[in-house]
Amino acid sequence: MATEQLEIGYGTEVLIGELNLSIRSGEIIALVGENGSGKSTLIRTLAGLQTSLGGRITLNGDSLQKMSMNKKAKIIGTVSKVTTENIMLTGYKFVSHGRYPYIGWNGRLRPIDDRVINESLDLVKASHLADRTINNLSDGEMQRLVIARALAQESSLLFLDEPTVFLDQSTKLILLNLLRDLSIKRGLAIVSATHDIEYFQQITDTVWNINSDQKPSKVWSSNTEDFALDIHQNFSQGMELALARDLHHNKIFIDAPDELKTLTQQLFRRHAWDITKFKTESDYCITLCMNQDSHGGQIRWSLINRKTLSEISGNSFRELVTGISNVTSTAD
Amino acid sequence: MPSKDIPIAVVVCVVVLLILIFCGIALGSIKIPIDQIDNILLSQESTNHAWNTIVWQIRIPRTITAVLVGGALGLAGLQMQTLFRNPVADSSILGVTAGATWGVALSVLIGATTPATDFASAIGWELTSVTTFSAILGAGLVLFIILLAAQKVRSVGTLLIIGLMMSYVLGSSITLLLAWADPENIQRYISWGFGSFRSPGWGGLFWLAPLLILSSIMAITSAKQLNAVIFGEAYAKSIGINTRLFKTITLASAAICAGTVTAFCGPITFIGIAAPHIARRLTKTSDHFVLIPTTILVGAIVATLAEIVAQLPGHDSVLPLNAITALIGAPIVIWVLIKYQASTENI
Repeated sequence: MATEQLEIGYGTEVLIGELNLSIRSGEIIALVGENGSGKSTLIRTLAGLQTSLGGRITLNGDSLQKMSMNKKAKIIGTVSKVTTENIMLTGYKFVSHGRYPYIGWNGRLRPIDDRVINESLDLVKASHLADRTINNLSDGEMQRLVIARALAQESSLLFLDEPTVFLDQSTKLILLNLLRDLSIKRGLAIVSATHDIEYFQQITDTVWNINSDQKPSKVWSSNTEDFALDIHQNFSQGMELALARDLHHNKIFIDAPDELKTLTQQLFRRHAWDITKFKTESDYCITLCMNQDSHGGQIRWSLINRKTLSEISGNSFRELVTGISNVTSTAD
Repeated sequence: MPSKDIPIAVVVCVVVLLILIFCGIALGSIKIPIDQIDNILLSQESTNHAWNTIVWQIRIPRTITAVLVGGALGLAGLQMQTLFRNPVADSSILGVTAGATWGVALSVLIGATTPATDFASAIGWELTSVTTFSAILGAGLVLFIILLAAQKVRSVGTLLIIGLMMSYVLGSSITLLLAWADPENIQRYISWGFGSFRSPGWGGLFWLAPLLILSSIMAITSAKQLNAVIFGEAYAKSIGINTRLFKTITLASAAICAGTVTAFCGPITFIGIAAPHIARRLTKTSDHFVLIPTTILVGAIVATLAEIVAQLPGHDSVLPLNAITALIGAPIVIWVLIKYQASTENI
């Protein structure tokens, strides 16, 4: 899937414009941004559930906007919060909705539909929920069925809107493992809007961050390879990062918005730096402790300190800290 | 397990309906022996010619009307409750019933002064036909507005409010008409408002049956879409449902049902709200492939039972149908809701 100059929003109000995004087979993308920044709107628009205000969305070269709902549903699966109050359906019946794009008006399931439904239930480890009524299930169990339903659509692209919300810690990890397996085993491309980036960063290939600027205008994407560049871009959008270091205790203090802290942590992990501790001290401060002797891939790191943009790089903790030291002293 | 309850519930409903249909034909203000009923039904012959006429010209069309109207109203109620995700919705919620009532009020309260009644009179229709024709015009007008609004408005909640507002506007204009009408016409209007399955007769059934069957077929073929929208429109779209087309078909189908029933039988209330709830509790499922046939059967049962009771077997007088549907139906609904509450919570 790719977008060209896509504009999303409601009515005539453009929420985000000039979006040029691409999603590759098997890629896992985490979509982050503040509440109201347009994450869900972007998910709905890309999934074809909401009309775009401008630009194009193409799926394997075909225009998504001109595609029938039925054809879209065979390619794109969507996972969002489902309200099950007062709805009396078994888990199997619910998952069978995923076969609707393939079956006729009378709803008769063919043997192949039955097989796909059972396989989907099995894949999300929810076969035991097939005969249970959905309004009696926990959030985690229901989330599995919603994903199984999307899998039963045999789609190659999965959009998830806050899939980990309301889930406890262990269920979140189970869900993330499931998504990673689906991406690897089925080549499923996954885009998920989330506030739980600290969980998602463990499986994600790419982060789309909707700029928290007051006038959101861009989504920037990030691949592992050019992560540092993304941080640089994010800084130049006006985010401020304050750094201090404590050489004796091998610590770097970072004072930055939450999403940036997460990205920073991810950056270090991607480049195989040995982080011994990554702890959020307060809303605005994290402590990053590293093994002083740790060597990893080279980190390129763009910094803003007191409105001065600099770039540091290093192959070891000491080089990095020295670089930070130089930047901060120059700024002083 | 729901799968075990479904056939039992449907089979029981079919048996009960068949018994009630027979009772509807056998019982009435004139007492006819059961063996004579059999003769009349099988060979259309009886020792008393009047009995033959009563059964074939009054009771059979009346019972067929009750079955058709009850089934169709129940089905339309199920469609509306699912589409609007509102447990107290029925086909009257669209304002179409109010439109039909308004048409009738114009013809009955003002008399032969409307274009509709002029036209009907000009082609030689009787007064009842004029009333029916006016109701169809009123329902059609509201249906047209609703379908037009459905193309412009995306939210079903907004559509619901538009339907309610139209009902209020039409209701207010009827109140104004009542304020100026002759007492005799007011009496006729109130009598029509009681509702009746006797009014259409074979002549009315000629129009009523095809229209109700048409609206029911439109609903039955939308079972898959109805199953999808119980989780909302976005969900339905995500599994490939063309929600705009579905909304248009559903609104048209429910409106045809409501308009037709109101035109021929008066504003029949309650069945549309009650039948889907009873069907849900009996089958313990929200699957419309099961709910639709069960709701049709339950609607037909409630309507036929109400009609039998309204006739007060053995007496000359007839009770207002709308009073009976609610009097019988409301306690049944409450009983069913309470009885099945625990079991549905545990399945």
